[in-house]
Amino acid sequence: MGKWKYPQLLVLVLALVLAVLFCLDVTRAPESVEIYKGDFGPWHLRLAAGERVAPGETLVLTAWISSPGARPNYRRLEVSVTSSQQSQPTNMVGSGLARSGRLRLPPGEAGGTQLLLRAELWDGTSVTKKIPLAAMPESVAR
Amino acid sequence: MAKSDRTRPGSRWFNRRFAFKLHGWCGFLLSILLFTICLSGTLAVVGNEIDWLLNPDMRAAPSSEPTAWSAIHRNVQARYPEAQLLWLGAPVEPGFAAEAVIRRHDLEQPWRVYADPYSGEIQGEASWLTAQRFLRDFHMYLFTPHWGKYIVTVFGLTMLVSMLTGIIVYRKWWKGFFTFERERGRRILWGSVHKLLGVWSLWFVAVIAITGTWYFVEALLFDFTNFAYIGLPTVDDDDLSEHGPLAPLADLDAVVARAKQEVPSLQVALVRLPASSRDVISVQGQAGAILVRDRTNRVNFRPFSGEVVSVQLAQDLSPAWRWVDTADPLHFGDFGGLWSKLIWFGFGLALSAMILTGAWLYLRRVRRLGDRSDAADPGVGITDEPIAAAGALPRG
Repeated sequence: MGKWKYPQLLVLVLALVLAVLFCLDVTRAPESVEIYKGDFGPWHLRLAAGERVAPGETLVLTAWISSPGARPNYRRLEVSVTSSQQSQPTNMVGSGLARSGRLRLPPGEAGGTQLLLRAELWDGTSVTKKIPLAAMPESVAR
Repeated sequence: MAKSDRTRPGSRWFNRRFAFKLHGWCGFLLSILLFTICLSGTLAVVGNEIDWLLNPDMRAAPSSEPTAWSAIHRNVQARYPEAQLLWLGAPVEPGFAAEAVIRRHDLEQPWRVYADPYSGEIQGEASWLTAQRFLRDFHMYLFTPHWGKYIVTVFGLTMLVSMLTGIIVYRKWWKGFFTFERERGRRILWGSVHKLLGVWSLWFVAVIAITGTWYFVEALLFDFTNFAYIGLPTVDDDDLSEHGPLAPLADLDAVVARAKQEVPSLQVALVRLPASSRDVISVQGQAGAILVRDRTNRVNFRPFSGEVVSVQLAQDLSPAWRWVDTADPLHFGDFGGLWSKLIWFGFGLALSAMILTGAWLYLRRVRRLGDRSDAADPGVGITDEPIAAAGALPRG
């Protein structure tokens, strides 16, 4: 047979390899660590950090806010570091129940540092929650 | 045929010869990938039925009772209190369970929950990647983000070329519906099979090639213009401030009943639930218009009060948007239930077989011409050999 055979086989093999990689990708466990699970005002909150960071580095956070039988109804969700004067609240964005945001941790020791979650309701009031950074697993706040 | 006819530029023979080369090139050089795409698409047509056979949780006794939307919603919410419900689907066919698709905090992909459509009782669950999803995603983009859809859909164009050149090459093809030669050797036999499949499935190839080419154009429009499907409306903030921090969704049975009041012919296939407080509940399905996907007809509601926000029907769309919503049913063959799917499946198999037989015929011809040119003149390339010399041009 001529030269045409091998590129086609290559394309097929490539497609199959990509299919396998996709399957492996969709079945792998998410690489995030849950750093808080509990109440957040009238809702239930799960807060997860996506990667390990040291003080001074950026923490990727995902908040999952749910309420059985009802939809959490708030306008905006922000996160900030309470002990840092320079920390501006970060708007957490996303669709559905998940909201994600990136937050730069203050330099120095993690002890005493707290995350502040603030959900602004449609009537202008807000729901807040402080989460001590020291409570986070070592794998997140090194 | 006279030799001068074959070689004279601009003559009819020259054009047929070129068409034959093009037909062979499109059909053979790309045959493995084309076959893979066609076969995966063929199986994807009956992907839900394959899952139905594999997974008993997807089965439910058929009934004339209405779908218990509220009960399904309530039971899924009770089973997964922290999950976000994305949509609820009515049984795909009689005998299927209803399906709720949810998003869980611990999974990246959505999750499927199957429920008895008439009692709402949950009877099983499955990951997002069912056989149907695997086949459909593989067929759509070969699991290759971004470029995969171009790789696949460009075959709509090559299929169009194959079809048109096939018509040119096969003289008086319309007389070939009942022509089958099986006693003149294997090449004639398989050539006859190839031509027979070709003439019978010509309409099907045209449908798949045209819609496939449209998907290629659509991919370009999506990536390089501001083209987007007609989205769902959002509700205004004032409506949301009337509710507190915990707002129960409107009762789905009442919402569906109201949708049927708005559009009496609506056969509800899907209830799409709001992703955020500003999104609507969208009741979607078929409403008398032929060849449109379910999401074309939709009645949208405020998520908490259940008031109607807007109604969209197929007959209200411009011809361009009507075509956008018609391409899918034409390509998938799911517009007439199981029977139309089986017809699409059968012709999909025929198309796949045509690719195989065409490739085999071309390969055989190339080998034979290669042997001849090796014996006569090793310097003569395979594609330089006059095709008619091998008697390979199909006779009408």
